[in-house]
Amino acid sequence: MSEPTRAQSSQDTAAAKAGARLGPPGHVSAPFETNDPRTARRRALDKCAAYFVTCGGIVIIFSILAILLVIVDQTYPLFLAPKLAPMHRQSLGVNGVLAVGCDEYQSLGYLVHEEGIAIFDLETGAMHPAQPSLPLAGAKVVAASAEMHGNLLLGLSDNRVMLVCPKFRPTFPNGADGPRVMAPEFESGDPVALKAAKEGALRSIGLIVVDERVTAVVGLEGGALALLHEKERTGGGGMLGMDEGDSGPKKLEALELPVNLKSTANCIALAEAADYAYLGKADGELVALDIRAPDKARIASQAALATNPKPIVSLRILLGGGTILAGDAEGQVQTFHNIRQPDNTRELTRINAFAPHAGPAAVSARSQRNKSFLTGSPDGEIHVSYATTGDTQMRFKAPFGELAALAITPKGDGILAASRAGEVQTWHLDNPHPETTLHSLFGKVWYEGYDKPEHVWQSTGGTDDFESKLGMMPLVVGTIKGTFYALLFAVPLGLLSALYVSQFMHPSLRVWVKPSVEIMAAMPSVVLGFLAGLWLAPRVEAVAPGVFLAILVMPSTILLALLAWEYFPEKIRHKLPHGHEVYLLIPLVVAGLWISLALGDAANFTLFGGDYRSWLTQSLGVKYDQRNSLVVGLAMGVAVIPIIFTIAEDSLSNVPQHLKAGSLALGSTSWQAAFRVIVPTASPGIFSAVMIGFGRAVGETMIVLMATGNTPVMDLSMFTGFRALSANIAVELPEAAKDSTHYRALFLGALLLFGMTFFVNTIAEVVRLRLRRKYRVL
Amino acid sequence: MKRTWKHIFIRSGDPFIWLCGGALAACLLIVAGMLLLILYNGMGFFWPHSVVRLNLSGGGQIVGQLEEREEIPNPDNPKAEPLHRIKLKQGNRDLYGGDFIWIDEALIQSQDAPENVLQVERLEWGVFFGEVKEVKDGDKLLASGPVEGYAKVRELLPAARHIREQIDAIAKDEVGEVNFNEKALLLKLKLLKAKGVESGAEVDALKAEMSQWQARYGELTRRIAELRAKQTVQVTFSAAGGKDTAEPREKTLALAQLVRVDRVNRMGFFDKCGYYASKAWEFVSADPRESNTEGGVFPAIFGTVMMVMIMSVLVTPLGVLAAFYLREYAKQGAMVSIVRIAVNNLAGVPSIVFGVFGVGFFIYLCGSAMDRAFWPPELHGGPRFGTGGILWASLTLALLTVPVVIVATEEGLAAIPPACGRARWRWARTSSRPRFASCCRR
Repeated sequence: MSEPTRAQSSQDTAAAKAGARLGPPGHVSAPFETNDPRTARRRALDKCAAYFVTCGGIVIIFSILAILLVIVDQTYPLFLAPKLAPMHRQSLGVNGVLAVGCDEYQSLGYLVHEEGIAIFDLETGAMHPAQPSLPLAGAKVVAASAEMHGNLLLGLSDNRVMLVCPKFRPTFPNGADGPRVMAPEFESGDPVALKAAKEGALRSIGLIVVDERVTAVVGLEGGALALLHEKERTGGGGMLGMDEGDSGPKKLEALELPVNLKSTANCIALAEAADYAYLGKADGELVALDIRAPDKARIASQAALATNPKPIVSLRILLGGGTILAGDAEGQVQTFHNIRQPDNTRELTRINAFAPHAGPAAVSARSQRNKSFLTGSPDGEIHVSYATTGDTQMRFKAPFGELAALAITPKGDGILAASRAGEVQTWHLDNPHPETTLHSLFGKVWYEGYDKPEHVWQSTGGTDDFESKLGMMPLVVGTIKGTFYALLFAVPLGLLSALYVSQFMHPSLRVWVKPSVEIMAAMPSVVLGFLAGLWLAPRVEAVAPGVFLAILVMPSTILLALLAWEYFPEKIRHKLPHGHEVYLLIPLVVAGLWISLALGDAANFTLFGGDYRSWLTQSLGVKYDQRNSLVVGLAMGVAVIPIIFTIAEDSLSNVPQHLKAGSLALGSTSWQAAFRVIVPTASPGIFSAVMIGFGRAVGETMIVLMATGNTPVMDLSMFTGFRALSANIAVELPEAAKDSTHYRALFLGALLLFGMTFFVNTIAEVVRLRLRRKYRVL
Repeated sequence: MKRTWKHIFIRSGDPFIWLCGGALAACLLIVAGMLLLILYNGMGFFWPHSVVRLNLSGGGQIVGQLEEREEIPNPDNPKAEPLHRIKLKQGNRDLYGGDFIWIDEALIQSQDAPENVLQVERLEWGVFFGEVKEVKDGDKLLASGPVEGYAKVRELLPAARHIREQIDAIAKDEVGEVNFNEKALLLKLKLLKAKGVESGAEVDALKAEMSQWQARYGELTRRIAELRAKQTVQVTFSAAGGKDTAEPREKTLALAQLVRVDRVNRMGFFDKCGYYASKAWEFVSADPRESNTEGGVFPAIFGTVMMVMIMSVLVTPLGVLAAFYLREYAKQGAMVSIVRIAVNNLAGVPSIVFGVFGVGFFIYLCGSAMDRAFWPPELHGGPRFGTGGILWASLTLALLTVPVVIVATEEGLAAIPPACGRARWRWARTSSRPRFASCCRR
């Protein structure tokens, strides 16, 4: 909205300047025009003042409106597409590339090719002087696992496997202030021969490292499988001069797995806990293999990417360890979760399908920071996708064909692609917020570890690979829920009081009653929240049935009292003239409250066996939290009542008196005049009172923060707490890192709040302006 | 005239009027109840409560102040005669491990209010209840027994407090000054080093100044040590044995540790009033102690007042200027109406949104930019402006209140009849100022 406003305001400025010369519109211009120097000075002064006030005023008004701009500016990067910039292209004279990778500063890269490993400078393409020599003994490297915490398992053509650890250490040869030089430190273990060598050639390897322990599954031509794991370390690590954490070459042991797949496993990936191996087979089946007990390994569940399955050609476990990424020969890319069923079996469940490739999706790579991944087909087409959102963020082409390997740099800020013939291209990737799309912020998302798609807000967790779940819906629902219960309490009380004060109360009482209700607005909301959370909540918990009964009991008490009052002798009745009923009503309300609490206590004992909370849980399945929406409704209601009361009372008492007088003169009772004439006339004002009360309740922070449990839940029960947008910001903003997705999501929350209140207040304001115009006509 | 039922209930509208009145009565009761609740809980907080001694049937003896009494829940047998338990503030956290204890009333054999028991407020470990056994200065016995000992403690306490205040003043103000100056000097040295100047007259001057401050620091530490050496008086108290034993326990506290010693059970009404007033004054004038559980809230009051004052200084001219522009100088049209509605509505935008703006704009944008501009990156010892502070809080608060001031001032200006035949600025200066001055002080 800024552009038109600015344009218009510059017009305003011009107009104001003109006005300063000619005198304001509506003001009578100076009656005498002389060349008196005093008049000239005054005129100059006036002009200066006009400039100053105009500039100042415009600047101030814009700086206020800039609030919106700043919040939007902080929010919109959430929805930006990633940016990609090509960096270097190198051609290394190697052949049969299987994998590519680099150090975290993107200075050195490595290529796994059929004759070993080549380390090269990413910028210049020069081979590094220190190249690792692998004891290949004439064999060729035919398969390489995905990199896991700096470990790679290579499969050789003579059915041996070899563990290598590509590590890069930063060194500072010219002192601490000098440039950083990365030094490669490649360790390789001894090759281990597979026992199942006779059955077929080695085709695929899956590797996982859990707490420094290596587990791997190797697939052979024809469907046989072998498992490799680290030999049990005999307790005395100190004997060899190594402690437990030392990552020296590991001794691997090969076992044959008693499973026959009937079809070759093209690709293998292992779950993070090394309990399941996922196999992508040549016949198109995706298999979850339970390897918790290697000698009793069995197929736990199966799935296929399509009804007409094509060979699965790539498989990855994404960060977090629960999401399986599979690509097939037709270019389909899908993610699966291995979900635990109620009967404790597992089922591979399709979570998301991504934009398909034209060719086979044979190459893939995962990020080490989040659930981003790359898929590529041999024709060079590369997709950047994010597993949780199901969104393919970007597609681009490698500048060469025969794409053989992809990698995301350790910091997630670059992409490496290598062709089979040893060409390497690097890109710089700027993808700060891959995990947010409109759908992931406002829709149901199927997170890892959940058994169905859900709305979840859970921004921080205890582990490094924790994925923040930034669904705004629980917060929006919480805000609406709190507002709803607050208005449920405040609207009837506020409006009825306003009607009474404006129409029926004696003017001598009105002068002090109105300010005393309005004094409630002066109560800081932090005090209300404090009282609600610490004083009110336990008391409401003790008498909850009575609180509900009060809704019925208090009005009936008043009505019964009125009936009784009619039978009082005239003498007493005359002591309480019209407009002073409130003297009698205050004790009546106290009595009504007392009766309803007593009845509630009785009901608690007779109907609910003395413990209504367990009755709620058992009969209705409703949980009772002490700090719940009911308490918030009461406390926030108290905060909203004075607002609704004041605005409604103003609009009711501003209705021109002759309308009421006419109505009374035609014989209506004062109630009829008030209800049929005054209320309809003032209804826009009443509406805007409710709207402004709504706006206040939506943005209320301290009360909801202190009087609810702040759990982001999605239910609407009045016995559970909630987490509101406002309280969420107050709780989490101090801990959110600047410019992180979490930080921006909190700004989005603020934007939503701003939008909601601004919208509601605008409606109220417009309606009120209309009302004012209407009164002017009357 | 005898009215019929129908007449009463439908046509006259009395029931509805009464219901409306009931709603109003409820509102008034809420207001009154809330104020009373706050007054009762807030005002009663400092009133001294008498100390009781409970002899338990298990042989234990507890001294403390009664906090609350409740029924013991008995879900198995709800018809039985209800039993009660009481919550006692027994203090002496260092002796018993906890400040509060629940006691079943059935266990209490006898109860009395010992005359000489003292309520001792100390610098650490919360309140202490006990009787003075002896007062010693080093090895010299000054007084013994509860009555004489109490008198002696009261006599010595003002001097002890004076010494403590002196130490605090040195540690806070004078050592603080030294630290501040040393830090500034270090920064200057660092700046010179960054420029490549590592020796020369300038550096030597700074170093000389530095050694002066260091000498001053040494002197201050010596003065503190001297004052500490005067704090030799030890008071030995005997406290109740606790829940399990009647054997009294002894506790020796340094007189310097004691803040307030009162024989609450012997206080008359006016003594209690005095105690109350002094506690209330401490609350508003003192710094908090013991992670905000004791002492006062003066820093919070100071911060609030300071923030509001800075805010008012910023907001009043700005808001008035904007209102003036809107009402007097801007061409009245659709655009100005829209701006006016927008400003009105900003008054209703939740304060948390403004807070978010403050964090994003003032702290992270302006503050970080100022840090980058004023200090070279190698001297960054953490953010200076790029972190929360009273300036940013006041600015944000000013932004929050500007719309309110604009709306109020505009209303005020609208009520003034337009000037005839005078320059607008003169008109504004003379006739409208008194009016809006009253309007904008909302």
